[in-house]
Amino acid sequence: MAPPEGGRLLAASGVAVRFPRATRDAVGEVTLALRAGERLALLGPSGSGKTTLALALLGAIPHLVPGMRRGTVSWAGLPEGALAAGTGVAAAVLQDSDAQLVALTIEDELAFALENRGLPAQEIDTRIERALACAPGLGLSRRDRTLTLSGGWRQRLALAAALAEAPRALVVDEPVAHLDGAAARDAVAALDAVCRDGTAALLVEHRIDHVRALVSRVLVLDALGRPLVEGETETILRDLAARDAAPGLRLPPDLRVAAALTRARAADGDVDALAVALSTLGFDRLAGEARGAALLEIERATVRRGGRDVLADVSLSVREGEVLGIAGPNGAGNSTLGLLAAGALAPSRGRVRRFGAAAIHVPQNPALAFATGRLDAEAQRRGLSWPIAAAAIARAGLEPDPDRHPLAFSQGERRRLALALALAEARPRVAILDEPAAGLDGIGLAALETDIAALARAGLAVLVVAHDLDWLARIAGRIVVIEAGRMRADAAPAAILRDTIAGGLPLAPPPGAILAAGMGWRFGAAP
Amino acid sequence: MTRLDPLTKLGVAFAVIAFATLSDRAAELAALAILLCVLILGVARVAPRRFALALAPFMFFAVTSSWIYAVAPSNVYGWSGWQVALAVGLRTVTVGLVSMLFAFTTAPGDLARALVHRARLPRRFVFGALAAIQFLPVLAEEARLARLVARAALPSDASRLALALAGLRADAVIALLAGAIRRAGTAALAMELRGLSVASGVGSAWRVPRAGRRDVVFAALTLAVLALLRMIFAAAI
Repeated sequence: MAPPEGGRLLAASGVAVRFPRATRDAVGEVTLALRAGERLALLGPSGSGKTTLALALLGAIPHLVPGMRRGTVSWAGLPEGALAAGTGVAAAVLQDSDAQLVALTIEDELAFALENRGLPAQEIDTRIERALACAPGLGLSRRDRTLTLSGGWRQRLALAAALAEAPRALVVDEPVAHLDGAAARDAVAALDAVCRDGTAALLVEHRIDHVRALVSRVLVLDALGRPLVEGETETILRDLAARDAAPGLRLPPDLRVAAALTRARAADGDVDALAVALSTLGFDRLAGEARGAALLEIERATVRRGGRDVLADVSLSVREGEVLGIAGPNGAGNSTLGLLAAGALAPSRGRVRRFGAAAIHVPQNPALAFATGRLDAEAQRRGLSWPIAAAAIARAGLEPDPDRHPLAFSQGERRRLALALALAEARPRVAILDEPAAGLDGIGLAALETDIAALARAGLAVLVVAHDLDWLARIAGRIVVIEAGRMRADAAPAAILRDTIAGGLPLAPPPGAILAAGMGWRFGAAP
Repeated sequence: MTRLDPLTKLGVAFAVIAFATLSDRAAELAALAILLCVLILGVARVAPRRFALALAPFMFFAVTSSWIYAVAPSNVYGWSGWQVALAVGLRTVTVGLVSMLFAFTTAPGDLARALVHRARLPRRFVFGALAAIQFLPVLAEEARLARLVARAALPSDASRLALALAGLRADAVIALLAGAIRRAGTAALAMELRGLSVASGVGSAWRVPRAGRRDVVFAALTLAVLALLRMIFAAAI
């Protein structure tokens, strides 16, 4: 294929990738082009090959990652199929920012790629200064240690380091996964600043509402990694919402509501727009107060670590059949509260009482829940016979293959596996799920909602830590908001949404609630 | 001391470690250890708590490696078992203090650049090792979380012993290592995507530390102190 023409920075044609020993292509026959300064999002359900495609376009497959790539990939100024990353043509930010950062100080991190490229020392210093003088690097200090940065700041540093490379294209994989609303907004603003100077961008992201305003075009892959549709962002997203054609995507609330309204009006000309909106967003069935017996009580509990209170004077109780949401900014102490409730941490002051109730805890990183290399060994470790474990795994919609390594499942599947085995094992009364929705596509999210509802119906007290307040409001009967280790609020979801939008809580106002409020919702019962 | 050239410091550190390793005089080792403590706390201004935390593993090894000499009959130079134990323990602590002083006063990035540009070590090896250092706290945090998750799986009436032992299984360590290896693979990919292999030769000569007159004075002063210690304690015997 001829090199990119007519202002094209990247031209890819018929790109397909197959990994060693795989029986089918991970990505199939993708053709796309990227012009200078253009922003394109790769969308698709979990396992659709978005990251694989990004790596193939960068040349990392097959140069750095074993895999067979067919088709052609041409970057302007480079030979066909060359490794584009690290050359100044393209810079990449991987999904896992913990693994992305390789140096111990901010300036060393920013200089790493520049040193590799052999730039003059003065040029490196100039670029470091420039990177720290504007978003996303603004606020970082040259000599600060990378290890002391929060997740949000690490993500920003990774972006700043990519920006310092002054690439013609930026490839970013899930820039806002695991970030709270405010940090996600900052990261998107940082990306916007990066792209405003003419840098092209290729983004891989599940949370479309965050990157929607950033990208002019989207390429949607289906579950098998084949291109489903490509075109202008708003047109494509509206079309997908209207046709309900991409169940794996987490489409923005306004598009889902608009599509629902169109469908309702087509069926019955006279519809209550607010009622349709609340129904679509799930705000018409907010759970009421639970009246069962208390299964867990935390009384004025304080947890100290590293000489400071990571949780201070926290009190709450959870009743049987109740789903309690826990929300707060990154680093506020949400996960610590989950571990305290599970009995994994002892309070330095106050007390935690579980009324004869066994608890299960599914961590933010579900891989930590597994300690063996085979499913049958994992079942044995938990005191389960294989038939019982296999039945639980099958009920979770996963293949009960006793030889399979628990970590061979995808991130979302690992979470379901951990939950299924824990439920089979403990006959618990309290379940604690730490950020179970992170990185899930639309299908995974729906399955998780079903699981949580089933747990509550079975009489369990369920604690769910999450950043997506729209989603949390839909599944929880009550939400606790934590800020800097202290409880800022403990109220019904509607009240939490109202106070968040009013700016009274340290959370980013969620788009679904903003939309509903704009349509006249008064945060009460559905009309 | 943070301004000193890392390679000169490294050479001097090796010299002091060799001195301590070859010394069998408890008083000489004790004097050297006190001097190092003064440098760490007084000159490098390391906080006492941080100092104590860093010293703890060396103290542990000092005790565990020396107690056998204290309780077993000894015929080494006709010394008592306690004398041998004291020398071995002090030697371990002294070597630890030298390592601590070097680590507290050396920026890893500066050392890496000096090793690549002046010692001509391969760039991939040095920066790979630097990235591995960055992993250690992350790995430690994951191990802590894995233990907490294992604790959470215990029944609410679990004994203190069961809580203390939760997660301390060989297979849990293997699972943790498997996760670390996967993460190391991702880090290697990230480094390659940022041009580690594209680097022509040793890369840019950005902020490469150079040895100067100050470093010569430092090395000479250290050797003089070691010679003085040897003279004082040789005369004392």
